[in-house]
Amino acid sequence: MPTITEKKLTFNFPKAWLVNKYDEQSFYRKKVQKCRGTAAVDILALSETDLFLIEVKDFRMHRIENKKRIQHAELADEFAQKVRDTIAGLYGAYRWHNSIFTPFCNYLYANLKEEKRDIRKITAILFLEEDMPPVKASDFKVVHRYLRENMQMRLKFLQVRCHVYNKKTLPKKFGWHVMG
Amino acid sequence: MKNQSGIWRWLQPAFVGELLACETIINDLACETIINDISVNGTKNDQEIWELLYFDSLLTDYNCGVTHRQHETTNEQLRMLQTLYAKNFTLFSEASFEFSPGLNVVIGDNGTGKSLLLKLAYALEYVLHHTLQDSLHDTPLSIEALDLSRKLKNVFQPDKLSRLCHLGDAELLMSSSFFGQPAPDLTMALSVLSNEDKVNIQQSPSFGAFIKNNPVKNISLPLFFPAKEVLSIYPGFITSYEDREVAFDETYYDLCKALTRFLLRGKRRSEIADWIAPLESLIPGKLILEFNRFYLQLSEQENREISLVAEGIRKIAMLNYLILNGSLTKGSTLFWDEPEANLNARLQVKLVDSLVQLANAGVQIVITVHDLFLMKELSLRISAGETKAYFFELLQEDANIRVVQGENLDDLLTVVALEAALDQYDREQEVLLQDY
Repeated sequence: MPTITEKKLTFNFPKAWLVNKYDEQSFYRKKVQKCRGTAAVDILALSETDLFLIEVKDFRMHRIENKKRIQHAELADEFAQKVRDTIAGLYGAYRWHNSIFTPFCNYLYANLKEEKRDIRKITAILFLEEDMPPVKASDFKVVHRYLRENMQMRLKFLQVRCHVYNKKTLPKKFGWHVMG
Repeated sequence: MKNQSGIWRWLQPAFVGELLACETIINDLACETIINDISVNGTKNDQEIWELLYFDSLLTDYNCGVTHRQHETTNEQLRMLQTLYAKNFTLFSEASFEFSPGLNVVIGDNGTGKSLLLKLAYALEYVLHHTLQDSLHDTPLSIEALDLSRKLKNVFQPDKLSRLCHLGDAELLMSSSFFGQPAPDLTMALSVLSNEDKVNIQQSPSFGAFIKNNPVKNISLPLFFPAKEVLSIYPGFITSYEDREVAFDETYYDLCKALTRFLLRGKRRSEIADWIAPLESLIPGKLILEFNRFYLQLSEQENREISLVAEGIRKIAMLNYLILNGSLTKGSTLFWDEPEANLNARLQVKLVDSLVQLANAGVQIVITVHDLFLMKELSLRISAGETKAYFFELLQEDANIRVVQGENLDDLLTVVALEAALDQYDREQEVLLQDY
């Protein structure tokens, strides 16, 4: 079972899936990052029918350490830029015939029939783990909803679907789960 | 003349010139000297003008000016709505409310009696104000004084007053207290008889005894803002309301009358500079009354008709104008039904800035809120310690309305708007995830 640990969280994906930490690959480090200001999501996960771009934010204890960190409007901008740059990076890998990314690039760019392009779903997930007092759980749902709408507006141009989840709210039907 | 309000109406145009002249004199010179001078040495005409100035509610402002000078009113003498108890009144089989001297927020589903509560408290305060005002100035009791039947009829517009009764006779109990003092100092008990078209007033202590012991105490004239602004219906509304059967309830008329007052000047104008600061930045001009119509003066050359100004801006401008003309002042109660109607979220935040400022300056505010965003904004300010408030939640339970009261939103049991938002979130998730 492919497993990725990011910050204090462990992501477990189904056996057949291809996963990697995009921002730790040498292609990203050596080539993509030369374009200054480029950003990247943390995890790429590919199944037969879905490509997940996962950005992990673990703000547990951050509230006390660094209050300014969670500015939700900025978070939406930052996330959208990361997704945009990651997709551009994958296009670079496609043109460079980078072997690590071949399945991802093929999913995105290869053998595309004109009418079927948007069938290949791209799902961008902001995995946002925060300290959550139980009483305020409903407040987080509402905040996540506004955040999701903000991100979706920004990424509509790429036909990317955006979601905000945490360990508790991540839907089972995605097929992967998170611990930690 | 002063007892025949009809005369005042048709004399008004003729006197406008003189009134304006008086306004200038009163503002420019020491008030008392002029008053004494007019009442002793003035011509009959001058004295009549002064009487009009003095007795017409149009210029209550000047009365306040005089009262202030004679009796140095202090904060402790500002009386505010403190408790309200309603039994068998409209939707309420039995409900009691304890109001904060600052901000009061009423929430609840549609049809749980939020507006009814505001209107009832308004009508009671209004009648009490006029009764005390008339006694204070030793004038014969006017049509507004003591006549709660009339006010309830005109505010609620039932076919018969007994329609306001729920099951059996209605009982109302209202108490008011002086600013910042816990104990109520005046309680008014009333009953509406279910089979008759009248209101029985039993009151403790009697007005006579009360006024004798406390010669200067009064309750400010409350203001009621309906959900719709009135600037655009202002032209001719007062006359139409007085002469014709109009479908608008009397809160609209009272509000239009409050708008007719002249703007404050001098010291009293500078005292409210802070109050209007958060509002003025939102209004792209200055609200002016010209030829009985409101305009937004964008520049010296350009006036925009109020009907061409966005409704949200009209509401803000109206609030601003009522502060500027002294209708909304320290000690007065502002009842505002759905202040968020027509206002964008950004303007709602600014509006809350202003409400917090008014509440902290001693204006009692009672608002109803439907919008989750505004509720959360108010709750946020209270959590941040900017002001204190009471939240009231009206809940439908079987055939009764239950009142839950707390100091912030999370003291309440169920916030219907929040539940609806969460439900929408769940349904949204279903749609977003349907093809995974």
